[in-house]
Order: sequence, then structure tokens, then C-alpha cells
Amino acid sequence: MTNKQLKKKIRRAFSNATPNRVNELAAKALLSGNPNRKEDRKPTKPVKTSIQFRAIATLAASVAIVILIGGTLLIGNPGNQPGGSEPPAMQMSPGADNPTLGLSVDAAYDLLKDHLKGQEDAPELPKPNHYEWEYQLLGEILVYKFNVEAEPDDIIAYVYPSGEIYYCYAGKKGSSTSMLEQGRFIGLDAAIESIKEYAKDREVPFDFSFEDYEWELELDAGRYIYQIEFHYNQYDWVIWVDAEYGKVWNDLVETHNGELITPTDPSPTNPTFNTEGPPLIVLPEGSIDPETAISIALKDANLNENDVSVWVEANNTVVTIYNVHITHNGDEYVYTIRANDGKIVGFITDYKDSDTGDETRPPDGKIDKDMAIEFVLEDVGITDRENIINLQCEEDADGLNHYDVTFVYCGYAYKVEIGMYNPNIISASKEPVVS
Amino acid sequence: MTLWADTRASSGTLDECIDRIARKEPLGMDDLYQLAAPGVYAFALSVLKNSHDAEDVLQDTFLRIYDGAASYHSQGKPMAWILTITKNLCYKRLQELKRGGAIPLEEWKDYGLAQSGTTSDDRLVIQACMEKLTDDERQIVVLHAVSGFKHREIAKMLDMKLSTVLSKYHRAVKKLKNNL
Repeated sequence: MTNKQLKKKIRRAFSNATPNRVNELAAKALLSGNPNRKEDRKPTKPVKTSIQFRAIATLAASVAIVILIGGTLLIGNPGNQPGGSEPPAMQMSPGADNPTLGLSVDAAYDLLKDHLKGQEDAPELPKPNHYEWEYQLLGEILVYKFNVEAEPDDIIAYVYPSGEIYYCYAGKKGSSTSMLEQGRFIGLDAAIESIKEYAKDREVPFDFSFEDYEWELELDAGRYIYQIEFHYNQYDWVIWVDAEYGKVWNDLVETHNGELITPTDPSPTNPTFNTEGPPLIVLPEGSIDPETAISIALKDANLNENDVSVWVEANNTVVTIYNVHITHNGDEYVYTIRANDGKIVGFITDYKDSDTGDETRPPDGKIDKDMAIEFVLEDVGITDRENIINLQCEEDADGLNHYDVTFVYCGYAYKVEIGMYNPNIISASKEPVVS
Repeated sequence: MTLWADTRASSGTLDECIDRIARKEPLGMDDLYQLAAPGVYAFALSVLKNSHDAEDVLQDTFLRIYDGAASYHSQGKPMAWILTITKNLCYKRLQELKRGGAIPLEEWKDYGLAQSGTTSDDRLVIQACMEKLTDDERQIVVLHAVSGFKHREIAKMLDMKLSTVLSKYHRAVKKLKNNL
């Protein structure tokens, strides 16, 4: 079972188990009504009561009478603030001025509409305005993300506080250069063409026309990526295509029984340093080169490049960094290395399976000693710590970094090796203590 | 009861629902419940380990939302606001339970038998989550899998280091895979 499948199971199980208390809630909410509550918004027109709500109101009134007769009445706490620990820093609501973004969602959408008016091949936007939106944090910047059902193709657009707009829509092929200056991504059909080109090099060529696929535009590790999912020849594919330059970035293949097929050597398909197309990243002067970044990562992992599969990508949202991906014994590790000085600024494990959505994190990403000890004792099954003698935990740099945890418990000397970044028990032994 | 398959509603949708509740629009509460209740219930269950108390907290959470909707100011993460309410209610309930003596235990193998929407597969999953995981692991798993929070957000909510959250999630997943 893949992690994705497990997540789905968990989500479904808890969703199905959640009791339906909507009607009771409506009744209790009516009973707890607070006429003294401050209202920030007044309805602009009288609110029609639906039949359902009227029925509940009647029921609630009956319930109230019964409870009153019984002598007990539960009323919600008037003026009670929700249990947030921090006061809101700003006032934001659709249609109002947004001090953080500097423009309301309506104004942001108007900017998008005006921008598209100037494009002769732009899709037709729905009239009247109809769109889905959400806040999205891109690096340090809060932006609006719009999802618009336009004709003939959907639009996904990011509108920045500065008024910059990044958008894409399906069906149009753009040029491969100067996409960024135009504020435009390549069209979806161009992304599909990239996949077909990519597939020619793979063992499973796509000799079919895409008719049924799902797509999404995401920001991933500082790059705008199309995520395209489709089913072909008994396999489920997920392929990521760089939305700015159209190169295939990575792929994931699963069979129906959940087996994962990983690319044997992703480096030939690594788009970042493909010399055929335009350079994807302009490295600032004085930057280390990709080979140096790889050496730094391998040295930290205490591995030889012959023992591992490794590939590297660069991005430069705020500073230029390299993400060095190492696969060793089935586990995946990603080192994030700053290009200007070669410093390791992030590390993550299980990159392929854990969708943290955040590929860089501070170098304190390794487990500390206390946590390592906790994991070891839990795995060994020891709960009465007061009977543990000579508990020690030392770092060991032999192979992939790990901790050696040793202790004496109930007449036995234990020695357990646990991964320093990936909390797996590598080895464990116990021997009777010879007195 | 089977709620919407994907309960990870976008922040925009949840904000809309809260806005509608504030305006006393009919079905605002219905829609918010459909979207947010699984996340709230799962989290409450993961903390309280008792379905009756979790159901009470579920109800109280939405009543608090109803009361507070008018003064709610969106910061782009409505689900985090909702679950903060849930968390506080859970901790309050735990204190009350501890004061009262023993915390009631649940027979997880029989959990959900009375509910028509719960399949045997669902019961196995919930039983595994409740019996095989530590408290932290369980809370991290439900926040990630049911409510869709990223690990960084979970670390902030539970006041843990990100590395701790990632490690515990990793271990929890392995335990669950071994048991399912």
C-alpha cells in the first residue's frame, strides 16, 4: 500500500465515522442565540428562510418548550470568542480592502480580467464573474490563487500584491522562451507534448492520444509545475512538467496493486541542466556548480557516488539553491544546498513518499538524541525507565549517519542503531551482562 | 453517515461558509459541517480516545463557530482556526475527565458498528489508529490525512519541531501499514 492509498483510507474511515449532527446543531444554535453579539456585517437583503430551516426552527421551538418544562436550559455563552490564542492581525474579507495584499479579491480578479483582455488567444471568462479563489503562500508572499472555468479552457492564475499575474490555461502552445517576462506559463498542450517527447526515451512509450487526464498547476520547491495524472496500459501515471520551460521534471508510476515503479536513472531526464534548451536557471556569479553540490551532499551522507543514485536540480525563488536527491537502499534523501557558499540549509527524508509540500527545512532536521532514545525504548518495549542503567546515545558516522544507543536493562546489555534522519532501527542486539 | 469524499476544502470555501453563517444564511452551517466535521471529529477522537466525548466536542466546536462567526477575521487558514477551537475544547474535556477519575476506555474493535456508513475496512483503520499509534502519532496522522495540513502547519499547531512531526508521521505510517 502506498502512502497515498493509506492516507485515502484514513480520510475515508474517519469521514464515514463522523456522526451527522447537523439538525441538532441547528436547534442548539437557535437556543444559544445572542442578541447582544456585535455584527461586523449586516445582510444586504432580507435572508429567506428555507423550508428545511423553518422545519428545524419549529422543532427547536418544541424542544425548547420541553426543556423549559423540564427545568433545564442550556444556553451558549453569549459573546464567547472562539478559542483562538492569537487576536487577528488584520481584517480581511472578500470585497474589503486587504491590508496585507493591498487589494481585495474582486480587485485582483479585475486585474486578471484586464490582463487577459489584451491577449488575443485568451479564453472567454464567465459572465457574470464566477471563480474559485484561495490564499496561497508562495515563499514569503501571500497571493490570490484563482481557478476559473473559462471557455474553452480553464484558467489557473496567481495574482501577486504587486499586480503581477502568473497564469496558465489549457490548449494553447506558447513559446519556450521569455515566458517569465510575459507572465505566462506554457499551455497545457505544450506540457502534453513534452510528456510525449519524454516518453520516447522511456521503456513504456506513450503511443496514444491523451483524452482523459487530470491536471493541476502547483508551485513546488520554487518552480511552477504542471501535475498531470492519467491512466495508461494498466499503469497510473503522475508526471510533473515544468510550466515555465516545458521540460518533464519527474514522474511516478503505480500499478493497480499499488506497486511503485521508480525511474531507474532520473538524471537523463533532469531538465535543469539540459543544454539543448534555454538555461532554466541563471546561476549568480561565484555560485558553486552542480557537481560540487553533489559532492557536498555525498560527503555529509558519508556515501560514495558509486553506491547511490543521485540527481540535482536548482531553483532560485529567493536565493539560488540546489536540491540534491540521493537514493540509497530504497530510501530517498534530499539535501538543499545554497549555491553561493555551498552550505547545507535543508534536509528531508522519504521525499518520494511524504508529501510535505515543503522541500527545504533548517538543518536541525535530524532527530535529536532525546528523540532517538525515545524511539529506541518504544521499539524495544521498555516503559519502566527507572530500571535502565548506563543509557547512552552517540553519533556514529559510519555509512549513513546514525545513533548508537546503548543501555543495560534487567540484566541485559542492549545496543541499538537508529537512523539519524530516518528513525528506523538499523540493528539491535542484546546480550546477558556478565557480572 | 458518509460525508463528502474530499473534506479538504479550500480555504476560500471554508471562509465563504463562515461568512454565510455570520450572515445567518440558511445552510451555511450545513455546508460548513459537511466540509469540516470529519477533520474536527477525527482530531477530537485522536485526543480524547472516546467517541462520546469526541461527539460532544464536535458539537461544541460548531456551536462556538456559530457564536464566533460574525467576529471571525480570515487569515487564510480557517481550518486551523476551527481546529484550535477543537483542541481547546478537547483539553478542557480531558481536564474534566481527569478530575472525575478514570478516563473511559473504548472497545475499538466494536467501534462504528452502530453507524451504517462505516464499513469493516473503516473500522479496521480506526482501530489501528487508536490502538497502535501513540497519542502524538495519531494526532499528526489525522491532521495530515483527514484535514490535509502540511507537516509544517502541524508542527506549529501541536507546538513540535518539524523534524519531530516528520519522524513521528513516518513511524506512524509504518505501523499502520504493518497492521492493515
